[in-house]
Amino acid sequence: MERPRVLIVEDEPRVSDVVGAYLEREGMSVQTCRGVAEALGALARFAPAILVLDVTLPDGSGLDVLRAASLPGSHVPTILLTGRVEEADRVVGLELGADDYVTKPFSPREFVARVRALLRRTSEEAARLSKEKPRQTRIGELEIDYTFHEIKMNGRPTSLTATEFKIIALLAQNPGEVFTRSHLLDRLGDDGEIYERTLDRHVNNLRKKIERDPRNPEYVVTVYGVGYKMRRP
Amino acid sequence: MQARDERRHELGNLLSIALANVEGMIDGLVEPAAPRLEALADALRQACRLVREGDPGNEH
Repeated sequence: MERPRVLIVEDEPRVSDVVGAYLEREGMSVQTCRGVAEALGALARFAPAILVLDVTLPDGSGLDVLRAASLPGSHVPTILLTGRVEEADRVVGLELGADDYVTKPFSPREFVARVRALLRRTSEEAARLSKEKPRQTRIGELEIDYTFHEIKMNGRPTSLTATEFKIIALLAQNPGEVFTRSHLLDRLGDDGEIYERTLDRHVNNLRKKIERDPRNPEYVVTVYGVGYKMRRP
Repeated sequence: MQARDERRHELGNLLSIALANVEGMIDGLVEPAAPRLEALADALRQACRLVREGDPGNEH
């Protein structure tokens, strides 16, 4: 397993050397920088999993590095090291995208615990995101965009009612899984607008919009005596 | 106010050096060699000076 990379931006080597040694003992790969310019280059080259950032640096503010590390799509989890204990500074730092802060003077043992906690939170978040349902599904010629509530067949947009979209989204997010009518109704919500006796009608209308031959459906398939399922991609 | 903030910031840095090195020595990560101990003593001397300068009784 690859060692987590930690970039330490701290102008005082008598601090960064020691905390770096602690992190390496914990199995992390550490690179240290002493200023803003060096840090901006290292962010791109070293691609750290965690950034440790002193706020006050000789060639500028560490918050400039934080801005670069907090760009959408490239956020690097960051711990600020600061001697400024004022609440305003903390708020500004955290609003800019920092995930935690440590005020000086600090114990390297406590610091290591903070880094480990942030790494753990970050990996748990990544695992959670990877388990989330996809934003889009493609099954054959059927494309479903859950964010924009859009359906396309053969690349052409198809208009669905809200209930029809709920049905196809649920089936398509679980392809191959058979849903009984009562299970479908449970999962479609309890707004009282869908009843078991009307569910079949919604499915028939849905098929008319997406199936080549609604009487012999390829996508929303009836499992006789049980319910419905979406064919596998 | 600004001078006090700067003094506090510098004091925080110096005490971080001291604490990091002492804990590092206890945990076997820092060799207690003479140059390292001298640097540590130097940081503590600077911290002492800042504390003395920050004492209102010494500002007259």
